[in-house]
Amino acid sequence: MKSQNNLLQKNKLGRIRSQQLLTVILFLLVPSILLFVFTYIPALNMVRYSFENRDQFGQNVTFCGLDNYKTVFTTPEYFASLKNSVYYLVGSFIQLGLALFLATILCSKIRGANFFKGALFFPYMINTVAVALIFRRFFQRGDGVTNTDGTLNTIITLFGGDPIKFLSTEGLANICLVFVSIWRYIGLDLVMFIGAIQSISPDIYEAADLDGANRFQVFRYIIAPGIRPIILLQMILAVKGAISVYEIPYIITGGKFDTSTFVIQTTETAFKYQKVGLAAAMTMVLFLIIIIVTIVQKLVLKEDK
Amino acid sequence: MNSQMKKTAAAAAALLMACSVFAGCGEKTTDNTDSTTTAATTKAADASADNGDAADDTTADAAEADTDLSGTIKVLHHRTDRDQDGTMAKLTEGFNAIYPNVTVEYQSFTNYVDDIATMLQSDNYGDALMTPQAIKQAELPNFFESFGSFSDLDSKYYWLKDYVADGQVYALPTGGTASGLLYNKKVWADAGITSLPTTTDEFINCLQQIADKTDAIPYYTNYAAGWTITQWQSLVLSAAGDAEYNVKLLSEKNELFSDGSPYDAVYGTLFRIYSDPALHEEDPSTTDWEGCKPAFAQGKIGTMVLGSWAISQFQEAAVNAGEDPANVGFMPFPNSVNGKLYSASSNDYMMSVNKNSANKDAAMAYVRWFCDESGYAQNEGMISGLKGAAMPETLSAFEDLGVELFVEAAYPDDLVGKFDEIAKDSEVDPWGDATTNFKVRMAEAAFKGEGEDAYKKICDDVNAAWDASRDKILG
Repeated sequence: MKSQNNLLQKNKLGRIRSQQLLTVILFLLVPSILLFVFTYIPALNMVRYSFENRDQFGQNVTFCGLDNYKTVFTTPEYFASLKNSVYYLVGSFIQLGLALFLATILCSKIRGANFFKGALFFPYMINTVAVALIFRRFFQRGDGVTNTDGTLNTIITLFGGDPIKFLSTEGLANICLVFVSIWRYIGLDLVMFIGAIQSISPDIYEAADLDGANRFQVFRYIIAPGIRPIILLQMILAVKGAISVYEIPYIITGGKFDTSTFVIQTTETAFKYQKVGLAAAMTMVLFLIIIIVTIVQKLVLKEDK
Repeated sequence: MNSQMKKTAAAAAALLMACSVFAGCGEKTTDNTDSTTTAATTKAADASADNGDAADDTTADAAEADTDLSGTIKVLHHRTDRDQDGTMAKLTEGFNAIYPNVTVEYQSFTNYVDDIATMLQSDNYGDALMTPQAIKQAELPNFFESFGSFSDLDSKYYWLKDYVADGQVYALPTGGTASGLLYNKKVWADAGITSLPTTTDEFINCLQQIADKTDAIPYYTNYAAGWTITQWQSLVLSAAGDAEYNVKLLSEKNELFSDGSPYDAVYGTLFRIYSDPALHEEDPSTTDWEGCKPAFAQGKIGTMVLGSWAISQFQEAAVNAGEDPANVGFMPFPNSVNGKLYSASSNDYMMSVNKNSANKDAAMAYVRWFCDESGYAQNEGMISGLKGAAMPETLSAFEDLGVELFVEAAYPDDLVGKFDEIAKDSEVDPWGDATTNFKVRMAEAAFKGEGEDAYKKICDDVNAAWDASRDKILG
């Protein structure tokens, strides 16, 4: 009697387990298929393309070995736009510092902290195209005939300054774009940092309070070490983002006035010069650069630990 | 039991999600439209049914109508505006008067060039469509159906030469446009200019005069829009005044840029205008294409390089702004060759038939009808693709000025498609607007005030890249 019961139990358990397995598989099926169809298969195809001579429509494709890579590495023009990434790299570290600073403040007991969290995160939720249109208008230098000065120039003239051509002055245009990028992405950093800071046990703060530590000491000895993994992650993402920046300059200036980036050049190579194979090779090179930078960064940061 | 049901339900939900994901994928390829209009043929079908009942009354109609052709065809095009204002539906009525049993559906795209490029990766790109320019000439037969041999059709249509492969024609012209400059007659008159310039120096002087004597912007670059700079390229052939110019460029291995060459005449002028802040708008990075139309009508802009296709749009904008549309003037590029001004005409979108279409005959009939009889080109103020058709009113001024309108000559067989091949391979891409394109480099060097040396340097780079690719491709 008892053993039969056991057997039933076992059968039931087995059934539940197999049902669980089925559910898990079915649920995983959706994201995995999406991942394969829209990420892995195109990515693998791109690796193949980078060894081929092909145009946008894939007619008369020929295998050309490493020719595309040779072209990329022997044409310095392709790397010229990487210098603009320096602006974004500097910008992203300013962004990280600022986000860390604001996160620390917002995690202390201040009035309206939730409002500020929301307000600072809000730009991240706006569509990039909308952001670009807002800032094109914001930085506009009017000619007084067909259009008027944008917001920033209006304020400058209000205080008696001379209006500035923000988006068509070399260098300044890049700084403006970096500013837009910081404005847009700081919210995400902020949320990550706030989450990390709040995961530090309050007991430690209490102990620090009792010991009479000031705000800076709390930050230096409790918060910073506590959220170190998140800071490192954000730094790696910042470097990756700076090298592969695309949509903000593409929409605001179209890469004109020396604001082009490596990714803009890659899309133009593929779709304006119809060299999809070469563009695929450029993407692979970008991929390699990012991997190398990440490995170097990890090694360097590990050492000073 | 309850929990088991829940799990079954969850599994079912997951399966459903998986299914709906794929359903979504399948639909996307066909339903990714900006606007779709279906002009049903019910009216025409009713009419033909009536014909059957009272055949005697309508023998004339029945003789004209071709009831053999039937089926549904889908036409892909770029004129979202014409879909919305009902012009396309009206065109269908005209088509159905002759082919009552063919149903025509339209699908239009605001971003036609990119969307059609994606669709061309499949077999599913409508039955008839505006021919995508990105396809290489030699590859046209892989996508489209032939309309007949070039030797037969060349006497009937303009601009076929770039759409011929192995002697067969793969696209017919919906209309064409003359190259030149749009100018505001009132602004030019206010500046005291009585006769149009015939040399580029005179042209720059005219712009200077507008800057000195009026409040208008002498030349509006429209630079932010990107494509606007490519309009300058259409002036090159006009500046040459020679239908064979591009053929000779390849066969005689001429340099693109040399002192006084057509490229130099056109882009040298561009460089001079863009270099002088008094001659163009204050900030070229924030120009606005739609906004420039009313501004032009109101006399705030003097001149722009745009094809004759733009005339009707600017006239419409003038009417909407309450200004006189007669102020929209059109002049040829002021570079007279042996005392004569020239303007090269070129095709607007061509139209083709998908070779995978299930209703090829109906699609063929539609394209032929659209290009020959629909009146589309006339309504749009474009030059008709049919040889011998009347010139549009928009170009009436050309006759007064004695401008010679001409069509580019066809390449000999061994040079067909080579111009494009060299253009892309060398990345000189005369028709392109990429950020590394020489036109963009010239414009930005000019905006920065870098002077003649920068221009010369860019010309040399272009020549070097072009020559290298030409020698590689032509041998």
